[in-house]
Amino acid sequence: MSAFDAVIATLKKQLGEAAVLSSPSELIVYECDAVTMHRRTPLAVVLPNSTGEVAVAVKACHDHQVPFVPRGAGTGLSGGAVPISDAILIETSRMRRVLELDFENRFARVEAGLVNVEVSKACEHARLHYAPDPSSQTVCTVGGNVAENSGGPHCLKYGATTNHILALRVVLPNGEVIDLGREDEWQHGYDLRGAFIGSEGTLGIATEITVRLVPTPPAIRTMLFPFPELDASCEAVGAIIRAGIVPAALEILDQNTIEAVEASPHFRAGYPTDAAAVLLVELDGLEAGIESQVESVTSLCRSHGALEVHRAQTAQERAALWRGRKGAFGAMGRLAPDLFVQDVVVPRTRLPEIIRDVVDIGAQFGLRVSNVFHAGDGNLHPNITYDRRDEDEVARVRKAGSAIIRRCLEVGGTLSGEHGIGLDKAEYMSLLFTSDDLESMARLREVFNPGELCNPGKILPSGGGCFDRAHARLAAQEKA
Amino acid sequence: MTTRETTVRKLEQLLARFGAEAVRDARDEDAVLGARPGWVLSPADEVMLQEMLRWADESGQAIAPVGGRTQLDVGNAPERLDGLVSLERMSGIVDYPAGDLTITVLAGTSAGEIARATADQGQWSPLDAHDELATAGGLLAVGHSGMWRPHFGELRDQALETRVVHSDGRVTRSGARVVKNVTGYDLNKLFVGSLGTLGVLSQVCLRLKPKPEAAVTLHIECGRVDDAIELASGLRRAGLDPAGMVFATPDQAMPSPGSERVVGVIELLGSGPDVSWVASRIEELAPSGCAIERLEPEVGSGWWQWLRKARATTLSGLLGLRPDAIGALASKLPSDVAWTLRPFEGRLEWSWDGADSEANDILDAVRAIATEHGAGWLLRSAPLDLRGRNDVFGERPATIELQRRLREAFDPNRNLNPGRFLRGL
Repeated sequence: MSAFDAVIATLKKQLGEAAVLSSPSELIVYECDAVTMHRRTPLAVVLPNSTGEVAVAVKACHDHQVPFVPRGAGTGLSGGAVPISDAILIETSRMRRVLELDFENRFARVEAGLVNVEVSKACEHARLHYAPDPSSQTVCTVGGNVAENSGGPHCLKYGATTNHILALRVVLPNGEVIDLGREDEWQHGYDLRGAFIGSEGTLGIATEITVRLVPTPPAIRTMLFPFPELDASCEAVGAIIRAGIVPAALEILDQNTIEAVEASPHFRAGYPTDAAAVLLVELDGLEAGIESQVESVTSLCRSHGALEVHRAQTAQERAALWRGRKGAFGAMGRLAPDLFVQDVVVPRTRLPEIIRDVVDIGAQFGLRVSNVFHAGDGNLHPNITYDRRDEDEVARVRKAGSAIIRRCLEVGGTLSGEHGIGLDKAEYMSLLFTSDDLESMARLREVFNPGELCNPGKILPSGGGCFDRAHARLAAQEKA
Repeated sequence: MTTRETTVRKLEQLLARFGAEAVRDARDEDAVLGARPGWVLSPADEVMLQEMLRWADESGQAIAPVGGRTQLDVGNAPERLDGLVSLERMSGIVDYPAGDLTITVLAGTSAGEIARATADQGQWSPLDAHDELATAGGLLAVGHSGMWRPHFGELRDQALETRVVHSDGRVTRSGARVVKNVTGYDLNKLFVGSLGTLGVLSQVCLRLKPKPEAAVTLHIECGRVDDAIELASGLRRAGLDPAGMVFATPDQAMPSPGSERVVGVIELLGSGPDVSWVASRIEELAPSGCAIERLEPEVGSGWWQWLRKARATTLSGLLGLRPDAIGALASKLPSDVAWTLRPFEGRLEWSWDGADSEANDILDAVRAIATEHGAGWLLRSAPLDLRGRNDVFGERPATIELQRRLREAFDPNRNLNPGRFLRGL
């Protein structure tokens, strides 16, 4: 009996047959996350119901020295939940209870498999909400958000997941259960909570999460500004920030994206299809001061060439404006069978030039690139639609993706703003970091995950610390 | 040649190469919590810092990194201390693209310098420093958030990029000069609040905020602590979060002649109409036992300066608990213990002045209250013998083994601030 067979048999006995999937037809849906370029079917999927059951599963893997990969809802966009070799998948999607709501102290303690949007639903009557709102928030889990340090359009004002996690219960890669952080934010020694968040499932599995709840602002104004030029919409974003206004969200969709959204029966939002770009601005705060901000933003957009302004007058109109933005990735499914979503960040002031370069890169490789991005954060999402059956096109997609990354790094940008490194970008890490930088990261991983059984092969380039080799491999890959 | 002779020779070599500005003998005022070092190194740049740290580590010299020396009393007394490495010369703004709302500074840059540079652009540093001489590196290494934490957020979230020189001389960078980033492990979080035990910060990029157009300071006097706590709870429930809120026993606060009541200040920041509306709402929500007055700007600013200023007392410390529970701790403190309460954040600073011979009893009493309620514990000042008998950071956390392994991974010879941080690291 192989080590894997032994683990599967042990877990079926300890957790029950229904908690362990091992037939090929059941496993096929777990072969990839939302990045379909990376695929590998796990040998089994474990579906624990509690922290204790996660610990049992991890301990079994540890005892038999079998690699395992944590997974939430599988909506990740970096291949983080895809094994690199034979492995057991441990999915937390059955752990979706709200364990504690404390409105006075503004926190909620939830299980890792709870869907993001359910946290806010559980506390909306108390006029509180959980701020991080990735586009997949109706599907993705809080545990997955912790692993990826997920963002979303409202990061601009409210920050990413790491700013909203107070404490974590974690199953370490040896099966031990520990608590990191405290609900009162008292830090006792090193901030292990902070180091864990965004570690992409490589330091252990978060099973219970205490999230910060923030007051839901009484006043919200959502506006859409169409622009005749993409550049001008980026310039308007810079002007708004320079004016000292921090909107809740500043999102840009380019013409290709507008066309895709408006062609979709599900996501149609009423965006003007003759605009080169639309800037979606959401302001929130108190009624007393919000109108003066609306006026300032409107004036700045007009002075940068905005053609008109659409103001949502009702909650339904607001939802419609957001439907196009949040459904943009889904809408692109109409354009081609496959979608490559890039995620890079540049200093905000470099946005106009980088967006021009992204458009040029798309043209250079003969690809359709649709840009939808968190402009206020400088977080770009060039989306390349393609057909993976066309090998030549796939090669061009990879090259264009690489060219975009390199250009962003040249201006002081970084590899990922919210999707993570995972499998997708591990080999690029040596473009951004020195071998000493990566060695420090490897030391942190080694402390938590000494045998690297927990989600091996993610974040850091492969090669056991020899990062120059990874660099050479990347160069060879691109040359090919 | 003895170890001491080797050290002297190396220091002479460093002196010859880097000059008297970089190497000097220590003086009495260089002592850290009772430990007097032998020498002080003041590197002019990161390369010099690398060489100095590498030498110290290879020769087993225990060092304490220092910045503006405003928080030298934080931590346990060092187990060993051979020298200080001062970042005072590594000061200056490296990059300030105001449109990006980020600023990159050398670690020895003072909070005052950052504040002045950013004020010209209508922006604010998030350091929220207790003293303008405190440096960016020192503030982040200690990691204690300021009194306007509700406005600025946790200090640990302000560092976007860090450069750190480790004990073996390696320089590593984490993060980037962008406001949103999930590229690789977030080592910034580890370095902030690590008290220099994982490496010495040499350069940091900080997130900035636009300076609000309006600020109002409200002065509050309440008859009882409970009234003050009720007011804070009312504001939280109404979603009226101030930028900062501090209550104090009268002897901790600015002199209030004739008053024995609990006094406090609330800072409101935002647009003019917002601030004015919130101030009115607070006046409406205030319990009948509380009187509220809007202060003239310079008076309000004076209050905050006074509250932020560290005062030398025989004993002082910080307790942390959930906002709804922290107020009860204030009422339980011995009657001669003064305190300032930050009810929005769940923080209670306490202090006591008196004879060293009585300090132990007071310390035990406060500690018993903290233990009973499971409060976070930090002892800030205490007579040296009491410090020696107590871990100033409280009981060992359950994660101590992970923390110890981290320390070992980054500073295996334990030459960076040995003994100063949590016991057992």
